Amino acid sequence: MRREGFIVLIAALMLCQGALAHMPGADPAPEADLGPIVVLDNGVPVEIGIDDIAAYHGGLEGKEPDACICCVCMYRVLLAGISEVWGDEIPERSDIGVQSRLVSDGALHTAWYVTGIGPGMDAGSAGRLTLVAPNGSALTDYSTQARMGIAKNRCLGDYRFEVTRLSTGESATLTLCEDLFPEGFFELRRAVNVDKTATEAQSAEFLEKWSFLRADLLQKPDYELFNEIEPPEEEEPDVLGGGVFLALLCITGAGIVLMGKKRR
Amino acid sequence: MNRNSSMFTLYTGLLGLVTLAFGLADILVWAGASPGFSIGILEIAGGDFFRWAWGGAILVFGGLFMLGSLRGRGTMEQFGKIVLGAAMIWIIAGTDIFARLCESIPAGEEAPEFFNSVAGFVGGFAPPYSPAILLLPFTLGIVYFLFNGRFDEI
Repeated sequence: MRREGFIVLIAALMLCQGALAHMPGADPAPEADLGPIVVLDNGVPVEIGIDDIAAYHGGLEGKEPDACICCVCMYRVLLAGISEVWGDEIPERSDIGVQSRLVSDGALHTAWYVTGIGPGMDAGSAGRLTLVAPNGSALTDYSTQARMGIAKNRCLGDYRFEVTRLSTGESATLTLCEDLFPEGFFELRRAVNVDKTATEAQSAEFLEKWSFLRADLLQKPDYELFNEIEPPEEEEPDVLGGGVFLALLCITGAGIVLMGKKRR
Repeated sequence: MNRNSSMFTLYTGLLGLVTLAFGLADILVWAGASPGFSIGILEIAGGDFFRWAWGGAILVFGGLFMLGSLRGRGTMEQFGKIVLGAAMIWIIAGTDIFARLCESIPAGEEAPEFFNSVAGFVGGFAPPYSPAILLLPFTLGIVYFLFNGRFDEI
Protein backbone atom coordinates (compact mmCIF):
# COMPACT_ATOMS: atom_id res chain seq x y z
CA MET A 1 0.00 0.00 0.00
CA ARG A 2 1.29 3.45 -0.85
CA ARG A 3 2.04 5.86 1.99
CA GLU A 4 -0.81 8.24 1.00
CA GLY A 5 -3.28 5.40 0.96
CA PHE A 6 -2.09 4.26 4.37
CA ILE A 7 -2.50 7.76 5.82
CA VAL A 8 -6.01 8.04 4.34
CA LEU A 9 -6.89 4.65 5.86
CA ILE A 10 -5.63 5.69 9.30
CA ALA A 11 -7.52 9.00 9.03
CA ALA A 12 -10.70 7.15 8.06
CA LEU A 13 -10.33 4.80 11.02
CA MET A 14 -9.84 7.76 13.36
CA LEU A 15 -12.98 9.40 11.95
CA CYS A 16 -14.93 6.21 12.57
CA GLN A 17 -13.87 6.32 16.22
CA GLY A 18 -14.85 9.96 16.55
CA ALA A 19 -18.25 9.32 15.02
CA LEU A 20 -19.78 8.09 18.27
CA ALA A 21 -18.61 11.06 20.32
CA HIS A 22 -21.41 13.57 20.90
CA MET A 23 -19.71 15.89 23.34
CA PRO A 24 -16.74 17.60 21.67
CA GLY A 25 -13.62 16.01 23.10
CA ALA A 26 -15.47 13.08 24.68
CA ASP A 27 -13.95 9.62 24.51
CA PRO A 28 -15.46 7.18 22.03
CA ALA A 29 -18.44 5.30 23.40
CA PRO A 30 -17.40 2.04 25.03
CA GLU A 31 -18.28 -1.26 23.39
CA ALA A 32 -21.66 -2.53 24.53
CA ASP A 33 -23.75 -5.46 23.45
CA LEU A 34 -27.21 -4.10 24.13
CA GLY A 35 -29.04 -6.15 21.54
CA PRO A 36 -31.55 -4.64 19.13
CA ILE A 37 -35.06 -3.35 19.74
CA VAL A 38 -37.24 -5.58 17.57
CA VAL A 39 -40.56 -4.20 16.33
CA LEU A 40 -43.02 -5.29 13.67
CA ASP A 41 -43.51 -2.79 10.87
CA ASN A 42 -46.76 -3.85 9.17
CA GLY A 43 -46.03 -7.41 10.29
CA VAL A 44 -42.40 -7.39 9.15
CA PRO A 45 -39.81 -7.70 11.95
CA VAL A 46 -37.39 -4.76 12.05
CA GLU A 47 -34.27 -4.78 14.22
CA ILE A 48 -33.18 -1.38 15.52
CA GLY A 49 -29.68 -1.18 16.97
CA ILE A 50 -27.99 1.68 18.81
CA ASP A 51 -25.97 2.34 15.63
CA ASP A 52 -29.20 2.93 13.67
CA ILE A 53 -30.30 5.41 16.31
CA ALA A 54 -26.90 7.14 16.19
CA ALA A 55 -27.11 7.42 12.39
CA TYR A 56 -30.68 8.77 12.48
CA HIS A 57 -29.93 11.30 15.24
CA GLY A 58 -26.71 12.38 13.52
CA GLY A 59 -28.57 12.74 10.21
CA LEU A 60 -31.28 14.97 11.71
CA GLU A 61 -28.63 17.09 13.45
CA GLY A 62 -26.60 17.31 10.26
CA LYS A 63 -23.65 15.67 11.97
CA GLU A 64 -21.82 12.38 12.02
CA PRO A 65 -23.59 9.37 13.60
CA ASP A 66 -23.90 10.22 17.26
CA ALA A 67 -25.09 8.15 20.22
CA CYS A 68 -25.34 10.79 22.94
CA ILE A 69 -26.49 10.25 26.51
CA CYS A 70 -30.10 11.06 25.69
CA CYS A 71 -30.14 8.65 22.71
CA VAL A 72 -28.67 5.86 24.81
CA CYS A 73 -31.02 6.64 27.70
CA MET A 74 -34.16 6.53 25.53
CA TYR A 75 -32.85 3.38 23.80
CA ARG A 76 -32.45 1.63 27.16
CA VAL A 77 -35.89 2.87 28.24
CA LEU A 78 -37.51 1.44 25.12
CA LEU A 79 -35.59 -1.86 25.37
CA ALA A 80 -36.57 -2.31 29.01
CA GLY A 81 -40.09 -0.91 28.63
CA ILE A 82 -40.97 -3.13 25.67
CA SER A 83 -39.59 -6.13 27.53
CA GLU A 84 -41.65 -5.24 30.63
CA VAL A 85 -44.91 -4.67 28.76
CA TRP A 86 -44.75 -7.16 25.88
CA GLY A 87 -42.56 -9.81 27.48
CA ASP A 88 -41.34 -12.18 24.77
CA GLU A 89 -43.80 -10.84 22.19
CA ILE A 90 -42.66 -8.49 19.42
CA PRO A 91 -44.68 -5.27 19.43
CA GLU A 92 -46.26 -3.79 16.35
CA ARG A 93 -44.71 -0.34 15.85
CA SER A 94 -48.12 1.27 15.74
CA ASP A 95 -48.94 -0.24 19.15
CA ILE A 96 -46.06 1.46 20.98
CA GLY A 97 -46.81 4.57 22.99
CA VAL A 98 -44.04 6.53 24.70
CA GLN A 99 -44.31 9.35 27.23
CA SER A 100 -41.12 11.17 28.09
CA ARG A 101 -40.23 14.04 30.38
CA LEU A 102 -36.82 14.09 28.78
CA VAL A 103 -37.38 16.50 25.91
CA SER A 104 -33.88 16.62 24.41
CA ASP A 105 -33.15 16.10 20.72
CA GLY A 106 -31.47 12.75 21.38
CA ALA A 107 -34.44 11.35 23.31
CA LEU A 108 -36.93 12.77 20.81
CA HIS A 109 -35.12 11.38 17.76
CA THR A 110 -34.69 7.96 19.34
CA ALA A 111 -38.37 7.73 20.24
CA TRP A 112 -39.29 9.03 16.77
CA TYR A 113 -37.18 6.35 15.11
CA VAL A 114 -38.46 3.45 17.18
CA THR A 115 -42.13 4.47 17.04
CA GLY A 116 -41.83 5.45 13.38
CA ILE A 117 -43.13 8.99 13.90
CA GLY A 118 -40.10 11.00 12.80
CA PRO A 119 -39.15 12.51 9.45
CA GLY A 120 -38.40 9.92 6.80
CA MET A 121 -40.45 7.22 8.54
CA ASP A 122 -43.66 5.51 7.43
CA ALA A 123 -46.42 7.47 9.19
CA GLY A 124 -48.93 4.73 8.38
CA SER A 125 -47.42 2.33 10.90
CA ALA A 126 -46.35 4.88 13.49
CA GLY A 127 -46.91 4.62 17.23
CA ARG A 128 -47.41 7.54 19.58
CA LEU A 129 -44.98 9.84 21.37
CA THR A 130 -45.89 12.41 24.01
CA LEU A 131 -43.36 14.78 25.49
CA VAL A 132 -44.32 15.90 28.97
CA ALA A 133 -43.48 19.25 30.55
CA PRO A 134 -42.13 19.40 34.12
CA ASN A 135 -45.60 20.41 35.37
CA GLY A 136 -47.03 17.16 33.99
CA SER A 137 -48.90 18.61 31.00
CA ALA A 138 -48.32 17.29 27.49
CA LEU A 139 -46.17 19.48 25.27
CA THR A 140 -47.86 20.69 22.13
CA ASP A 141 -44.92 22.59 20.71
CA TYR A 142 -42.02 20.25 19.87
CA SER A 143 -39.88 22.98 18.36
CA THR A 144 -36.25 23.15 19.47
CA GLN A 145 -36.84 26.55 21.05
CA ALA A 146 -39.76 25.35 23.15
CA ARG A 147 -37.89 22.27 24.29
CA MET A 148 -34.71 24.22 25.04
CA GLY A 149 -36.63 26.30 27.54
CA ILE A 150 -37.42 23.16 29.50
CA ALA A 151 -34.02 21.54 29.00
CA LYS A 152 -32.27 24.49 30.66
CA ASN A 153 -33.35 23.31 34.09
CA ARG A 154 -32.85 19.60 33.52
CA CYS A 155 -32.87 17.57 36.69
CA LEU A 156 -33.29 13.97 37.81
CA GLY A 157 -37.10 14.27 37.63
CA ASP A 158 -36.88 14.73 33.87
CA TYR A 159 -35.67 11.15 33.45
CA ARG A 160 -39.16 9.72 33.79
CA PHE A 161 -40.69 7.64 31.01
CA GLU A 162 -43.74 5.55 30.32
CA VAL A 163 -43.97 2.87 27.65
CA THR A 164 -47.55 1.89 26.81
CA ARG A 165 -49.17 -0.89 24.82
CA LEU A 166 -51.79 1.22 23.08
CA SER A 167 -54.09 -1.68 22.22
CA THR A 168 -54.50 -2.78 25.85
CA GLY A 169 -53.49 0.28 27.86
CA GLU A 170 -50.89 -1.77 29.74
CA SER A 171 -47.87 0.35 30.59
CA ALA A 172 -44.52 0.46 32.41
CA THR A 173 -43.16 3.56 34.11
CA LEU A 174 -39.39 3.84 34.26
CA THR A 175 -37.29 6.37 36.16
CA LEU A 176 -33.52 6.55 36.15
CA CYS A 177 -31.71 5.77 39.42
CA GLU A 178 -30.29 8.81 41.20
CA ASP A 179 -26.91 7.21 41.89
CA LEU A 180 -26.21 6.92 38.16
CA PHE A 181 -25.57 10.65 37.96
CA PRO A 182 -22.18 11.80 39.21
CA GLU A 183 -22.29 14.40 41.97
CA GLY A 184 -22.91 17.92 40.65
CA PHE A 185 -23.69 16.66 37.14
CA PHE A 186 -26.73 18.87 36.53
CA GLU A 187 -25.06 22.01 37.92
CA LEU A 188 -22.03 21.44 35.74
CA ARG A 189 -24.23 20.75 32.72
CA ARG A 190 -26.02 24.04 33.21
CA ALA A 191 -22.76 25.96 33.61
CA VAL A 192 -21.18 24.33 30.53
CA ASN A 193 -24.10 23.93 28.11
CA VAL A 194 -26.63 26.59 29.13
CA ASP A 195 -25.07 29.53 30.97
CA LYS A 196 -21.65 29.11 29.29
CA THR A 197 -19.99 30.30 32.50
CA ALA A 198 -17.88 27.19 33.15
CA THR A 199 -14.14 27.44 33.59
CA GLU A 200 -11.83 25.19 31.58
CA ALA A 201 -11.44 22.90 34.58
CA GLN A 202 -15.22 22.67 35.01
CA SER A 203 -15.66 21.86 31.32
CA ALA A 204 -13.08 19.10 31.59
CA GLU A 205 -14.80 17.77 34.71
CA PHE A 206 -18.18 17.79 32.98
CA LEU A 207 -16.72 15.99 29.98
CA GLU A 208 -15.37 13.27 32.25
CA LYS A 209 -18.69 12.89 34.09
CA TRP A 210 -20.62 12.91 30.82
CA SER A 211 -18.47 10.07 29.43
CA PHE A 212 -18.81 8.18 32.70
CA LEU A 213 -22.61 8.45 32.62
CA ARG A 214 -22.82 7.37 28.99
CA ALA A 215 -20.64 4.33 29.71
CA ASP A 216 -22.95 3.38 32.59
CA LEU A 217 -26.05 3.80 30.43
CA LEU A 218 -24.49 1.60 27.76
CA GLN A 219 -23.11 -1.10 29.99
CA LYS A 220 -25.12 -1.44 33.20
CA PRO A 221 -27.97 -3.95 33.42
CA ASP A 222 -31.56 -2.67 33.50
CA TYR A 223 -31.97 -3.20 37.24
CA GLU A 224 -29.03 -0.88 37.94
CA LEU A 225 -30.45 1.82 35.64
CA PHE A 226 -34.14 1.90 36.53
CA ASN A 227 -35.74 2.16 39.96
CA GLU A 228 -38.71 0.03 38.90
CA ILE A 229 -36.80 -3.04 37.71
CA GLU A 230 -35.92 -5.58 40.36
CA PRO A 231 -32.59 -7.39 40.20
CA PRO A 232 -32.90 -11.04 39.20
CA GLU A 233 -33.13 -13.43 42.10
CA GLU A 234 -29.91 -15.25 42.78
CA GLU A 235 -30.22 -18.97 42.20
CA GLU A 236 -29.45 -21.10 45.20
CA PRO A 237 -26.64 -23.53 44.39
CA ASP A 238 -27.80 -27.12 43.86
CA VAL A 239 -25.82 -28.60 46.73
CA LEU A 240 -27.56 -31.99 46.55
CA GLY A 241 -26.86 -32.46 42.84
CA GLY A 242 -23.26 -31.32 43.20
CA GLY A 243 -22.79 -33.41 46.36
CA VAL A 244 -24.06 -36.57 44.69
CA PHE A 245 -21.71 -36.01 41.77
CA LEU A 246 -18.69 -35.38 44.00
CA ALA A 247 -19.54 -38.40 46.17
CA LEU A 248 -19.82 -40.67 43.13
CA LEU A 249 -16.57 -39.25 41.77
CA CYS A 250 -14.73 -39.87 45.04
CA ILE A 251 -16.16 -43.40 45.45
CA THR A 252 -15.25 -44.31 41.86
CA GLY A 253 -11.77 -42.85 42.25
CA ALA A 254 -11.21 -44.73 45.48
CA GLY A 255 -12.54 -47.93 43.89
CA ILE A 256 -10.14 -47.60 40.97
CA VAL A 257 -7.19 -46.99 43.31
CA LEU A 258 -8.12 -50.02 45.42
CA MET A 259 -8.54 -52.13 42.31
CA GLY A 260 -5.10 -51.06 41.14
CA LYS A 261 -3.51 -51.91 44.52
CA LYS A 262 -5.27 -55.28 44.67
CA ARG A 263 -3.91 -56.16 41.25
CA ARG A 264 -0.36 -55.57 42.45
CA MET B 1 -18.19 -66.94 20.96
CA ASN B 2 -19.16 -67.26 24.63
CA ARG B 3 -21.88 -65.32 26.44
CA ASN B 4 -19.40 -62.94 28.11
CA SER B 5 -17.89 -62.10 24.77
CA SER B 6 -21.20 -61.28 23.09
CA MET B 7 -22.28 -59.14 26.06
CA PHE B 8 -19.02 -57.22 25.97
CA THR B 9 -19.31 -56.76 22.21
CA LEU B 10 -22.83 -55.36 22.65
CA TYR B 11 -21.63 -53.07 25.46
CA THR B 12 -18.68 -51.80 23.41
CA GLY B 13 -20.81 -51.33 20.31
CA LEU B 14 -23.47 -49.33 22.13
CA LEU B 15 -20.89 -47.23 23.98
CA GLY B 16 -19.06 -46.58 20.69
CA LEU B 17 -22.25 -45.54 18.93
CA VAL B 18 -23.36 -43.21 21.72
CA THR B 19 -19.87 -41.70 21.95
CA LEU B 20 -19.82 -41.13 18.20
CA ALA B 21 -23.29 -39.54 18.31
CA PHE B 22 -22.35 -37.26 21.20
CA GLY B 23 -19.14 -36.23 19.45
CA LEU B 24 -21.01 -35.38 16.27
CA ALA B 25 -23.64 -33.49 18.28
CA ASP B 26 -20.89 -31.44 19.96
CA ILE B 27 -19.46 -30.49 16.58
CA LEU B 28 -22.83 -29.75 14.99
CA VAL B 29 -23.93 -27.53 17.88
CA TRP B 30 -20.63 -25.66 17.70
CA ALA B 31 -21.07 -25.29 13.93
CA GLY B 32 -24.40 -23.56 14.53
CA ALA B 33 -26.92 -26.30 13.85
CA SER B 34 -28.41 -25.37 17.24
CA PRO B 35 -27.80 -22.44 19.60
CA GLY B 36 -26.92 -24.97 22.31
CA PHE B 37 -29.37 -27.03 24.34
CA SER B 38 -29.99 -28.69 27.63
CA ILE B 39 -32.15 -31.79 28.05
CA GLY B 40 -32.46 -33.16 31.55
CA ILE B 41 -28.95 -33.56 32.90
CA LEU B 42 -27.33 -33.30 29.44
CA GLU B 43 -26.07 -29.97 28.16
CA ILE B 44 -24.26 -29.08 24.94
CA ALA B 45 -23.36 -25.39 25.00
CA GLY B 46 -21.40 -25.33 21.76
CA GLY B 47 -19.80 -21.90 22.17
CA ASP B 48 -16.10 -22.60 22.47
CA PHE B 49 -14.16 -24.05 19.54
CA PHE B 50 -11.63 -26.06 21.52
CA ARG B 51 -14.17 -27.59 23.87
CA TRP B 52 -16.98 -28.38 21.47
CA ALA B 53 -15.45 -28.71 17.98
CA TRP B 54 -12.05 -30.10 18.97
CA GLY B 55 -13.42 -31.99 21.97
CA GLY B 56 -16.25 -33.29 19.81
CA ALA B 57 -13.73 -34.57 17.27
CA ILE B 58 -11.90 -36.42 20.06
CA LEU B 59 -15.18 -38.07 21.11
CA VAL B 60 -15.91 -38.97 17.49
CA PHE B 61 -12.54 -40.72 17.25
CA GLY B 62 -13.17 -42.38 20.61
CA GLY B 63 -16.43 -43.77 19.26
CA LEU B 64 -14.77 -44.89 16.01
CA PHE B 65 -12.00 -46.68 17.93
CA MET B 66 -14.60 -48.57 19.96
CA LEU B 67 -16.63 -49.46 16.89
CA GLY B 68 -13.43 -50.44 15.09
CA SER B 69 -12.68 -52.95 17.85
CA LEU B 70 -15.82 -54.89 16.94
CA ARG B 71 -14.24 -56.19 13.74
CA GLY B 72 -12.42 -59.52 13.97
CA ARG B 73 -11.85 -61.91 16.86
CA GLY B 74 -11.34 -61.00 20.50
CA THR B 75 -7.66 -60.18 20.76
CA MET B 76 -5.46 -57.89 22.81
CA GLU B 77 -5.26 -55.53 19.82
CA GLN B 78 -9.04 -55.22 19.83
CA PHE B 79 -9.09 -54.51 23.54
CA GLY B 80 -6.35 -51.94 22.98
CA LYS B 81 -8.65 -50.09 20.61
CA ILE B 82 -11.46 -50.14 23.17
CA VAL B 83 -9.14 -48.73 25.86
CA LEU B 84 -7.94 -46.06 23.45
CA GLY B 85 -11.56 -45.11 22.72
CA ALA B 86 -12.34 -44.97 26.44
CA ALA B 87 -9.21 -42.90 27.04
CA MET B 88 -10.59 -40.31 24.61
CA ILE B 89 -13.71 -40.04 26.78
CA TRP B 90 -11.60 -39.86 29.96
CA ILE B 91 -9.53 -37.00 28.54
CA ILE B 92 -12.55 -34.86 27.65
CA ALA B 93 -14.51 -35.75 30.80
CA GLY B 94 -11.39 -35.11 32.90
CA THR B 95 -10.92 -31.64 31.42
CA ASP B 96 -14.64 -30.89 31.91
CA ILE B 97 -14.47 -31.88 35.58
CA PHE B 98 -11.23 -29.92 36.03
CA ALA B 99 -12.89 -26.87 34.45
CA ARG B 100 -15.78 -27.19 36.90
CA LEU B 101 -13.33 -27.48 39.78
CA CYS B 102 -11.51 -24.33 38.70
CA GLU B 103 -14.75 -22.41 38.13
CA SER B 104 -16.14 -23.42 41.51
CA ILE B 105 -13.19 -22.26 43.62
CA PRO B 106 -13.62 -18.48 43.16
CA ALA B 107 -16.87 -16.70 44.06
CA GLY B 108 -18.88 -14.97 41.35
CA GLU B 109 -17.64 -11.81 39.64
CA GLU B 110 -19.97 -9.56 41.62
CA ALA B 111 -19.27 -11.14 45.01
CA PRO B 112 -16.98 -9.12 47.28
CA GLU B 113 -15.05 -12.17 48.51
CA PHE B 114 -12.62 -14.15 46.35
CA PHE B 115 -13.30 -17.73 47.48
CA ASN B 116 -16.63 -19.43 46.97
CA SER B 117 -18.69 -20.74 49.87
CA VAL B 118 -18.72 -24.51 50.48
CA ALA B 119 -22.31 -24.70 49.21
CA GLY B 120 -21.34 -22.68 46.13
CA PHE B 121 -18.34 -24.93 45.52
CA VAL B 122 -20.36 -28.16 45.79
CA GLY B 123 -23.19 -26.61 43.77
CA GLY B 124 -20.71 -25.99 40.95
CA PHE B 125 -20.72 -29.73 40.27
CA ALA B 126 -24.50 -29.95 39.92
CA PRO B 127 -26.18 -30.98 36.67
CA PRO B 128 -26.41 -30.44 33.74
CA TYR B 129 -23.29 -32.21 32.49
CA SER B 130 -21.45 -32.42 29.19
CA PRO B 131 -21.84 -35.63 27.14
CA ALA B 132 -18.31 -36.78 28.05
CA ILE B 133 -19.05 -36.63 31.80
CA LEU B 134 -22.27 -38.58 31.28
CA LEU B 135 -20.33 -41.25 29.34
CA LEU B 136 -17.75 -41.57 32.11
CA PRO B 137 -19.58 -44.13 34.32
CA PHE B 138 -20.28 -46.30 31.29
CA THR B 139 -16.55 -46.73 30.71
CA LEU B 140 -16.06 -48.30 34.16
CA GLY B 141 -16.61 -51.75 32.69
CA ILE B 142 -13.56 -51.21 30.53
CA VAL B 143 -11.58 -50.10 33.61
CA TYR B 144 -12.63 -53.29 35.38
CA PHE B 145 -11.39 -55.52 32.56
CA LEU B 146 -8.24 -53.42 32.22
CA PHE B 147 -7.28 -53.71 35.89
CA ASN B 148 -8.13 -57.38 36.15
CA GLY B 149 -6.25 -58.28 33.00
CA ARG B 150 -9.23 -60.30 31.78
CA PHE B 151 -9.29 -58.89 28.28
CA ASP B 152 -8.24 -62.28 26.95
CA GLU B 153 -11.53 -63.74 28.25
CA ILE B 154 -13.79 -61.44 26.30
